Formats: sequence, structure tokens, C-alpha cells
Amino acid sequence: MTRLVIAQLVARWPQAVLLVVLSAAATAAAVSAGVYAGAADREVIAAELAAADRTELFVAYGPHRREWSVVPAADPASALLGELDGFAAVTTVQLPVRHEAADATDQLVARQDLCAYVVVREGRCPVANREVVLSPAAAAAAGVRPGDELVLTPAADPAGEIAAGPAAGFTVVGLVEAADRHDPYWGPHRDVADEAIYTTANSIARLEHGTELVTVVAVLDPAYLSAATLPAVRADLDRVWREAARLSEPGSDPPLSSGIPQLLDRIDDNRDRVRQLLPVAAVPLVALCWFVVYLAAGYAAGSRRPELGAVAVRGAPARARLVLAGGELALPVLVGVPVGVAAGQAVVSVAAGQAVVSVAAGQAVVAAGGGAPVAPAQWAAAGVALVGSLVAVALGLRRELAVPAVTLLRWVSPRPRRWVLATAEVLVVALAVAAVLQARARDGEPVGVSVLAPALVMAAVAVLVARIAWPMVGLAGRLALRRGRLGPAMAAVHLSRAPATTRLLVVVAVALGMLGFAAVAADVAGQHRAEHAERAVGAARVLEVRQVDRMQLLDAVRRADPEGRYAMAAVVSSGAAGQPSMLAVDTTRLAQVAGWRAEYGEPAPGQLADLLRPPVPESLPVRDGTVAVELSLPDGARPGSTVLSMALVSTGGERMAVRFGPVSGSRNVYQADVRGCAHGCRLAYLSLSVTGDGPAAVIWHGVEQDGRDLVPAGWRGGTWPLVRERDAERMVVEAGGGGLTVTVPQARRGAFYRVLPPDTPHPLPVAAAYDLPDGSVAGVDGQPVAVTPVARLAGLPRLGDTGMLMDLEYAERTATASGATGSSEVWLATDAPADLVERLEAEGLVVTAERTVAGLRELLDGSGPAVALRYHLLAAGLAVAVTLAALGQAALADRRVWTVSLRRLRVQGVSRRTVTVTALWSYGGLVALGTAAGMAAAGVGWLVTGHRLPLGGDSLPLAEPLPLVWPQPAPVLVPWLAAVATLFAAAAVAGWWQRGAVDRKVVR
Amino acid sequence: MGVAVTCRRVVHIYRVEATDVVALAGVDLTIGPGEMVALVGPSGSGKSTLIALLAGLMRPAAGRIDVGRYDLGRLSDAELHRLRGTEIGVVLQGAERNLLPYATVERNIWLAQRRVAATKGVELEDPERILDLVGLAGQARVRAGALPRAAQQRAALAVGVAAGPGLLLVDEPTSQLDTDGRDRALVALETLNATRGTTVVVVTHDLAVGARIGRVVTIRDGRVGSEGRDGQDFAVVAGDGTVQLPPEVLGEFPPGTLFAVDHADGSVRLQSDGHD
Repeated sequence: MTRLVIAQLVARWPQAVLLVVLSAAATAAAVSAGVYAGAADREVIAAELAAADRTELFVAYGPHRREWSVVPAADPASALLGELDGFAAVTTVQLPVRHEAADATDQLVARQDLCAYVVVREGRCPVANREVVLSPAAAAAAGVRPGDELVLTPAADPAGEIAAGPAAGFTVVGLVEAADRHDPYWGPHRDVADEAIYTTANSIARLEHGTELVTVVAVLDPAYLSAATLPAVRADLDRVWREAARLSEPGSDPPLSSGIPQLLDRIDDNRDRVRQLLPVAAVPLVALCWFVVYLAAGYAAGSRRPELGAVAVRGAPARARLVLAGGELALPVLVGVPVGVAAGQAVVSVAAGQAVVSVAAGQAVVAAGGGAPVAPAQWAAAGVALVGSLVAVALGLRRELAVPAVTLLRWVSPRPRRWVLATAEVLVVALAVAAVLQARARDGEPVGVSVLAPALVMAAVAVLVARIAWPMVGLAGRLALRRGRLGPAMAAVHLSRAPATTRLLVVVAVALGMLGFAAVAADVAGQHRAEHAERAVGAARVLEVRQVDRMQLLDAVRRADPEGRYAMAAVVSSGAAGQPSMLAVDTTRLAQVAGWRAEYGEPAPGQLADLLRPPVPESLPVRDGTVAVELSLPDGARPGSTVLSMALVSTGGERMAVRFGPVSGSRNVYQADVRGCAHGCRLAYLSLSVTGDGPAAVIWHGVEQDGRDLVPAGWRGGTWPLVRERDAERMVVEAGGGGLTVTVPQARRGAFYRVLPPDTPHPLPVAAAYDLPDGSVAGVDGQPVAVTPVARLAGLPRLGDTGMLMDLEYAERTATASGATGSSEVWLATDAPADLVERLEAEGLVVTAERTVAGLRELLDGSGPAVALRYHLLAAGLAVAVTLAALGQAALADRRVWTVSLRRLRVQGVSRRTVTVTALWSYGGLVALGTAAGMAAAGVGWLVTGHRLPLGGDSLPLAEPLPLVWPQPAPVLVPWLAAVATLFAAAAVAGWWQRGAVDRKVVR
Repeated sequence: MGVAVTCRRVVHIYRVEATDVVALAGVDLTIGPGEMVALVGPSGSGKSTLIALLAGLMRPAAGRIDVGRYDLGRLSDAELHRLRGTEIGVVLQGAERNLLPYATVERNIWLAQRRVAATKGVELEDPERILDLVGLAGQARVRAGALPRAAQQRAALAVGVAAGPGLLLVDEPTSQLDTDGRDRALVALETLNATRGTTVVVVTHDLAVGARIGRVVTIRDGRVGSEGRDGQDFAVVAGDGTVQLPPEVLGEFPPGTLFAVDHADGSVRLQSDGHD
């Protein structure tokens, strides 16, 4: 029998080759999901590492106190963290020292491996005892240069007031700067690099002092983190936490801190999402391959009916019939398995490998992809694919093996029973409905049959289209016949009557549907990620700067960009529990700089800026020099018990208070010297305090400097808001008595009763992306501030739909304290000049991080759903390739059956042109119908199931489904039309080939 | 050794698109062991249907068919299948329908011997010897599809007798053959019949083939119309007592013609109304 099977394979090698291809495709599809999952793991890990905050790359133990000794005691933290696989432990010892010459307190620090992580600007690194290095800034502050000596006295307190040891001289041997401030090597003390005095561990050990602070940081090696090592890293961290808890005092938390668990959680979430989404494309692809193998087996068996009949009529045993019928089909299927395993790995390696490199550029982790040995799971998947393909072959052969010999001797296959077809169609539709219902019930989580929801819906649509199309094709054929168009008529008859065409139509439709669905999903998800990146970043480019006073930030940015077109100061505060996040920006530049999306709603950013920054009276200006304030007490007030202060704030944000009083009874002028207002100050508020509990009151008549009345004309009759004290509601401010009368019925000693001047926007206008009632919220300084919503927006840059926006300068006027809160940022416009960052740095801002929309988009492209969607596209491409093979099988089968009929017609006088038209219309018509059905399938599949799959996730809302939005035409249509064109080309080739076969035989 | 074949009032009806078509309307036929019989008749007369029934490929709607010691109507499908691999050899119309074109002639014969090899366990006949019988000596290694048409027909005969059947049913063995090819095929059949004693039933349109075979049974309108032996034609009395008139006679007597029947001295005389 083997020789016979070999003879069959030799005789019908094109069919065997196509079967090898189909089996390989099924195997590759089954294997590729696993291979891709592995590659996706690498990509996801690389992307998450790239996106990780530096705190997510180390574990820090400490700082904890340790008593000094010449021979340092073994530190349990070093032992604990030093043995972690994949981590490098860095021990830092520091102690406060008093630098007598500079009258300052510094930190003397010994950091392990320091010299590998700094750039030496001048001199060299410390190697010997009593050698130190500083940053250039710290050296300038201390007034030293390399070669100078620093006399440092160990201190027992941070203020350096209590000496903990004798003074010692240290030689400054160099000036250094951190090579990379973001390197996790610096652990939780990133800024120390600029401010500390660095020496060797031996120097600190030999310096007599009291207690020292020890911090051990275990820095994760990014190259170590992989899917294989993730569980071990988790287990190690858990163990470290348990051990640290055991070492710490009962009832107290261990001094451990790390963001690594959050990083691992995100990686696991993304990996889970990939594994959830891969089967959505892989399973239908494998099923499609099996279905095409089934069709191919059916075609092959159908076209060999006489041959099988000849064997059956000889009474051949069942085994011989089985081998003869199935051998030449099963053998290529078997051969296709190793081919498919190799192809699956190769295709994924190429597709995923490139993607990984693009996403993880600059990262230590880059996917290797190819060359890896085949994992047992992949062999198992290949085994499943093989079994499925063999079952498909058996199903395709079942009729030819089961029917009597006399049936096989008839040339034409009997049509399948109608109820069988109807049952199959109803089953497909019912499964599609069940899958959609399950997807709805599970809220989009792809489990059970809902994994197949898109494919089933597309198959159901294809089946229904075929059900409608064939009668219409038959009708069109009859009409064509009446009009004398024989070619199209014969093609229509062939299409509408041949049972296999329905199945082939379903294959074409499902493959094109898969491609359309994947292209739409990929594009919509891409748009979603791009929009998310725009929202999340806020502007084209956002510089995170070292935390700086809010007014300094505002002032520096305005000076660096005096035109107000390219840069905008911003302060972002994460809301505390129950409080919305807050974004305070220089709204004078909002329209020019912020990435404002239409979806945020009205008003436009320019109008919004006007609403957030309504006109207010001009401020009360104060400069350096003597300020004279005229005060008096109202009737009944106690003389000598009330003090009035003027809180001034400079343009750089520095605040100072100028005291006047205690106020005597009569109207008097009180004078005070002001310093720190060389560039001008404004009155932030008036503050009233008392020397003893009881009622208090004062009348503020005015303020002069150098003989000028400083009170702006616009203040007359203006509102003086009362704020910030628990007893503020019991405070009364009224104009009268020739000035402003401030009365506190029950003043307490030590309390400050503040009155804001009329140039304070009160209540503060805010725009909220939620329903914010009138009232108070935490302001820029974290203190409650009265606000009034002036706009209700659907979203805000950076904050999304949960925050509020306010003007930074106005918000600062409502603050009672200067300082730095939240995240200090500078937002840059797309067309910001290249030197703007330098100008900002020249104004004293230190850029610590940078985010761009493109950069975030690139990182999001490495998220689980994005990676999985690329596999969907890959699978769809494979599905189209499989469809080409199915067309080839159909053409081969037709050549043995349909061609004979055409040949007879040709002999009877049908023209060559008619035969050509028939052949071309036949395959072309099938592809045309399949294209229409595929388009319908993709559309319906997307509308019904697309937005229920968690395809839109990213590092924030990972399981977020995609919004139902229109895709961009080009990214969807280009691959889709390319596939359609390929199928039409294949149909034309098949038709031409068929015509040629007819013609050759006739001529011969 | 050849087997006897007996058909008794065999009726077969095809159902075509909700219409019953009577293919055989009561065939009575007896063929002795080792006899060669030609079935002739116009297209659609039921010759091929009768062959298919004799091969057990179809079952008659009524009547009985015995092949050797088997009543085919009482055999299961599996037993009929086995019988076709052992006792009954079938050569289908069109040589290519009997052969696997991509396999050698020898492999084709080998495949046709699988059933008998499995059921009897006896030593199989050497393919070369079978080919020698049909005049294809030395052609064993030739691919069947590469043989000339006439040789293919004889190769088909070789496949048909590969299992050593007692009955060989051959459908149109000489169609599409030239005279030389026809003669070679007939020689092969005669050789098989003579050397093995195989009962041979041949369906043919070619009266010359029938004449050479000797016994010619004419099937007309699903019945045995007449029988010719050694050049002499005979009317045949069917099981239900009917006798078909020869076509040339029937032309003169339209349906409904009444005959008076005189039976005397072993002869029957039909006297039509209006004739003396």
C-alpha cells in the first residue's frame, strides 16, 4: 500500500503540497500563539521596565540607625538584600556633619560603588581615607575647590547643633555629578547626589561619631527579569518582607520600600491580557485551517470518486480502502507538522522580534525570538493541530468511505442533505448568539465560547450571506442565460449548485472578516492609545523639574518664554482620598501649549483661560524700604493688644511678614523696614493677632512708602475676603471709620486672622471634569480654598475625567504659604524652540524627567492588548494565506471534475471565450461574494463583539474595552484591499489555468 | 471454475425526481457454469442495470438472482462486498474506470487481490501469469495510465479476474477500440473462459462481438427480448409466459393487435386479426 500511496502523492503532488501547506498553517497557528506569548512576555516586560518609575526598580531597606564602631557591625539588611538573585546591593552610610567654615550642615555619605555612577568634572574620585568629592553646586555653596580642605564635625542631630565627635579635616579631591539621576542606583535619595559630601566607607568608619544612618538598596538588573524569573523575584521579595518584619521591632513596620511589586503586578496584568486575547485570534485561525483541510479532503475525495469506486467494486478490505483514500491526505498532513512548528516559530520571531526591538530600544531586555528550542507546550499544541487536521481529513472522506460502491461509480457527488446543511447553519448562528451573550454576561472577559465570539459572529454572517446569495446568483445566472450571456450564466450555475462553493465562500468571508476585524481593532486601539497618551501627557512634551516653589516655577517659565507661546508652568497634585486631582497651570499659555482635545468639551482653552483668570484689581505693590501703615482702634477696642501684619510675597514666591503694632488706641502711623522685595512684592494678606484672648479689632487706614499711597484705586469698595481660620466666620471685615475695620469678637492668643486683599480671586474659579459643587477644596498649598466652578468639562489634559483645573497664579494668591507641592512641571508646545530647555535650566529649573506623547505612545504600544492585537493581524494574514490554499485546492478539484464538463461543452461548440469567461466569473464571483460577505462579517463582528473585548487597555485601565469609534480608512483599507486584490489575482490565475486545461485537452 | 447464474423475474426500478422508471421489468435468465453470454440491446434497455444487479452493486426491487450457491437478495452488503472480491469479477465500462492510472499494472492487480488474499489465505495467482492470459505479458511494471487504450482494456480485464472469480461481468469491453483492439480484448476473454472456465457475461452494443461470443441475449424494454445461439435467433418465453416479438415483426403489428394462437406439433402459430 505504501507504494500505492507514494504513487498517488507523485501523481497529485500539487494537492499534496497544498495539504502540507494547510497542515503547516494549522500547526503554525496552534504553535504561534504559544511562541508569540513568549515573545510578548519579553516585549511586555521590556515595555514595563522602560515605563517603570525608578522606585520600581529597587528595594530599599532603611535608613536605619546604627551605632558607630571602627569595625562596622554586620548589617542584617545587607545580608538580606545582598543574596537576592538578579539584584545588586548598594550600601550607603551617612551622617550629619557640621561644616564650620561655611556655617552649614551637610551629609557625609559613603556610597558603595560611587565612582561607577558619577561623572568626574574635576579632580578624581575618593579612594583613600579622609578624601571627599562634592557636586560642583555643593562645592560652590561650601566655597571649596579640589585640593582644599574641609573641616567637618560629626553631628548628633540634623541641625548640626550637637557635636558627636571631634572635627576632622577632609581633602576635596574632585567634583562629581551623577551620571544618570534616574538610575535606580541612587535609591530613594536621588537628590543627595547634588548635595552630599561623598567619601569612602573607610573614612566614615575611621571618623569617630555617634550614630549613622545605613540604607541598603538592592537594584534590580533589568536583564534578569523575564517570564521565567518573575515567580522567583516575587517569592524572593516576599521572603525579604517576612525576614525584615522578623528583624524589626514588634509592632513596627519594617523599613522596607519598593515599587517592584507594583511593576510585577503590571507585568502580570499585561501578560494575562495577552494570554486572554491571543486565543481570540489563534483559535479561529486553527479552526479555519482545520475547516480548509476538511474542504481539501472533501475536494480530493470528491474528485477521486471513480477511483475509489473502482477499488470498492473489487471488494477491497476496509483497511485498504481507508489507506488508499486517506493515505495521500494524511501523509502530507503529517509532513506539515514539523514544517508548521518551524514556520510558527519563524513567523513569530520575525513579527515579534522586530516589534520588541522597536519598543524596547535602549533597554537591556530585547527579545531574542528565534533559535529557541521548541517547548513541550508547543509540541502539545502541534499535536492538537495534527489530531484536528486528521479528524478534518476523516470527516472530509467520511462520505466517500461510507457510501456503497455503486454510488461512488456515479460521477457527480450527491448533494448534501438539506437538513444537514440547515442544521449546520443553525448551529453556527446559535453558537454565535451564545458566544455574544456570554461575552455580554462576562462583561467582555474572553472566557469559554466567548473567546470565539468574533469569529463565530463572522462565520454566522458569512453563512447567512451565502444563504441569501446563492438563490440570487442562480437567478442572475438565469437572467444572463436569457440575455445570451453564456459565460456568466454557466459560472452562476456552477457557483449556485456546487455544494462546496458555500463552504469556500465562508472561508473567504471569515478570513477577510478576521483581517477586517483585526485591522479595525488595531487601528481603533491605536487611536485609543494615542488619545490616551495625549491625555496622559497633557502637552506634546512635558518636563518634570525638581520640585520648586510654585511662584519660582511660574516666574522662571515666564522669563524663559517671555512670548508665552511655547512653555507653561504647571503643578499637578494627586488628590488625597476622596479628593480630585488638581492641575494648576499658567492659563495665559493654556491655549498655546496644552494638548487640548475636542472631547474635553466647551469652552475652548482660550475662553476657559479667561474664565479661570477673570480680571481682578491690581495688587498692592511693596518694594524694599520703609513702609508706613496708618492704624487705629475702633471704639471699645483694647489698646496695645492687637498686632497687624502685612504678609508680602515676592515675584519669586518668597514670603515675608511685616509687623505693625501693638496698635495703640489713637490713629497712628506705624513703620517697618521691608527687605527681600527688591524686584517688588505684593500684599498677600493682612493678618491680625492678639496678645491675649478676647475681642479684638483694628482699623487699617492705608499704607504708604516713600510718601506714595500704595493702596490701588480699585481696592476702594472692593471685597476683602476672609479665609483660613476656624473662627473666620466670626470675623467681620467692613469698610468704615475712614478705613478697613477688622473685628474678631473672640480672638485667641497665638491665632492669626487673615484677610485677603481684593486682588485675590475669591472664590477661586476652577474648571472641573466632574460635578463640583460650590464650596471648598484643597488648594495648591493643600489648604482648603473656596472655589467656584466656571466650566464643566468632559475631561482634562493629564487628569482625565476626575480632576479640576485652575490658574496657578490665582491659586497661589489664595495660598497661605509658599512652597512646592505636587509635581512641578513645564509643559512645552509641539513647536517649542530647541533651546527652550536650556533657557529653562538657565532660569534655575532642573529637569529631572521628560515625557512626550510619542514616547508614551511607544510605551503603550508594548502593553499587553497592543501586543496581542499585532498577533491578531498576523493571524488574519495567515488566514488569508490559508484561503489562497483553499482556492488552490478548489481549482485542483475542479480540474478533475468541472473541467471535464467544460471540455465537453467546448467539444460541443461552446467558444473558447465563453469557457474563459465562465472560469473567470466562477472564481472571481466567489471571491467577490466572499469579499462582500467578509466586509459584512468584519463590520457586524466588530459592532457586536469588538467593543466587548478588552482590547483597549494600557498601563492604566488595562481591561478597558475599546470605544466604538470609526477607524481611520487607510490603516484598515490598505491591508484589507491588498488581501482582496491578492484573492482576486488568485481567482484570475485559477480561472485562467482552468481554461488552459480545457483548451489543451480539446486541442489534443 | 465458473459459476451458474440464474435470474428469475428480476425487476428493478429507479426513482428519478419523484418518478419511478422501470429499468428491468421481469428478467428471466439462466447462464450455465463456464458459459459465455453477451447481453445486447439498445441504450436504456437495462443491460448495464442487469450487470450491476448480478454484481451485487444494486438490489432488485423484485425477483431473485442466484450466483453460484448464493441468493444475492439474502446477502448483506458486507457479504456482497466480499463476494465482489472473490466470486464475482466486475469490469466497468471504460477501461480507465477500472484502473488506478498512477499505479503499475501489477499494483492494480495486487490491489484487486486484497480481498481474496484476506479471506481465503490461499496463494494468489501471479500477476505476470494473469497478464499473460490477457496478452499483456511483460507489461506489469508499466503505469496503467501510460498504456494504450486497447491495452488498458485488457489490463482492466486482468484486474477483473485478478481474484480468480467464477463469474466475470464485463460492461462494453470493446467500446472505443479499433478492430484490432476489439479482437485482442475478445481473445483475452475467450482465453480466460477457456483456461479457467470462468463464466463470462459481456454487455455490448456490438452485434459482431455478440456473434463471436456465441450466446447472445437481447434485452429490450427491461426484459429478455430474444436470444441468439450460433447465429440463430430465438424468442424467449419469460417466467410470466410472455414472449417478445422480434422488432422487425413488431413493426408490422402495432400495440393492441390481436392474435389467434394455434399450438400444434411443438410449434406456435400467431394469426393476427385481419390476416389469413
